[in-house]
Amino acid sequence: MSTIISVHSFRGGTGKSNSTANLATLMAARGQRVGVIDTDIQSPGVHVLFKLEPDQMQHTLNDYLWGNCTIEQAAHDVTERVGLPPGSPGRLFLVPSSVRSRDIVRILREGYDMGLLNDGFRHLIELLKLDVLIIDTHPGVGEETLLSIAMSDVMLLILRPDHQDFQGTAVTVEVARQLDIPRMLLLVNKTPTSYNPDDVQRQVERSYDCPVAAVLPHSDEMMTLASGGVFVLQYPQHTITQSYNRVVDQLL
Amino acid sequence: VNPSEPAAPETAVSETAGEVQVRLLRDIGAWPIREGVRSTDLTALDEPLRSALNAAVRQGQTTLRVFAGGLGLNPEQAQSVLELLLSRGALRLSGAEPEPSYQVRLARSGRSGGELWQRVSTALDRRLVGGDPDQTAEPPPAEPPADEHGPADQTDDRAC
Repeated sequence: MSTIISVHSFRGGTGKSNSTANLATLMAARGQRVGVIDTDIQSPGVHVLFKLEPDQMQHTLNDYLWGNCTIEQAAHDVTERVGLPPGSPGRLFLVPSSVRSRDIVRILREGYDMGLLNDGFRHLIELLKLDVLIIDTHPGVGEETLLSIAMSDVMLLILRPDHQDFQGTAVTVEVARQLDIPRMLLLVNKTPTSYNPDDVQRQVERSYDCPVAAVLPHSDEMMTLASGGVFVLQYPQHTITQSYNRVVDQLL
Repeated sequence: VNPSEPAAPETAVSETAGEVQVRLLRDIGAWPIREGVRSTDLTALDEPLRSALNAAVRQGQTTLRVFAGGLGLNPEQAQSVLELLLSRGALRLSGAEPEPSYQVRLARSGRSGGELWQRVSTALDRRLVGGDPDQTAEPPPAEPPADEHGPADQTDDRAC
């Protein structure tokens, strides 16, 4: 039985794509067959963390939605590219969105068939025999993003300890409940190191009546890496890596 | 009240399944479905239809038996609801074996209104004529005009 996880945030810049890439990599390192699909079609970015250059994308999610390829043709095996050892039992696949400006504009202009996207999720799981499909969503509560949540078994909602995030996250949590999401976890990211993580966790859990999977500190190492790779592979002993591992424990 | 009728789940007042069926048919008839089901529908519909459609979206598809269970109706009662949803374009038949299955017919994602994106698209095409069609970003102008302060892409947007 595979699991669809949507990784979401109300606002941009919370570390959504970074968390997606790190969690997916850890899952694959544990032997899981993991797919990541970048549904942030308006502002794609997770491919950067997997070191997939635009000229290496033979097909993208856009091509699938326009009927130019099958969903598996848009899936790229990035297992070795990301730095996982060759021959490892887990596999990591990425369905990127196009970064070509004309493709992004076309999506904005024409929209796309949401039913086809839902079918694509199911076919991808079946064809690639995925244990987990992670959906990297566009931030906010737009129509497309909400339907991605509606299709998911678990939502990981990422927020920063910031008043703007707090208010917006409350909206997202409530909408996700209206969509009957079976399971919801919060991830507090970029927390100032002066904060007590236990206090933050208690406060956030009380505010949203929702479990916090982890409170991750702001990290200069993460900032310095600047999406130039997957953090958990670059810093396997770091406290953030340990925290991501605990999140994976809760997701699998 | 027919005691043989299944109890409808999560209704505010104690309705019989027959009453739920009548209410659902009335509500679906008044539901302004446009090009399929939207996420706002999945949050705003009354129970038990909201939960049943959400479950169908999450599972990918549903059958009459499963759908009836979600609505708290027997299959005969649910059949009329399902047929109305099919005729209104909220569901579509997705398979026949081993029993008919149905998918929620999701609306296309919203298209941006107005001509903005058509004009942006035209501007991009114009700028990319003779260039590499696969290029991901347009190079900035060698020297911005004196009255321009932003990058080249913003110039296009302002031109709209």
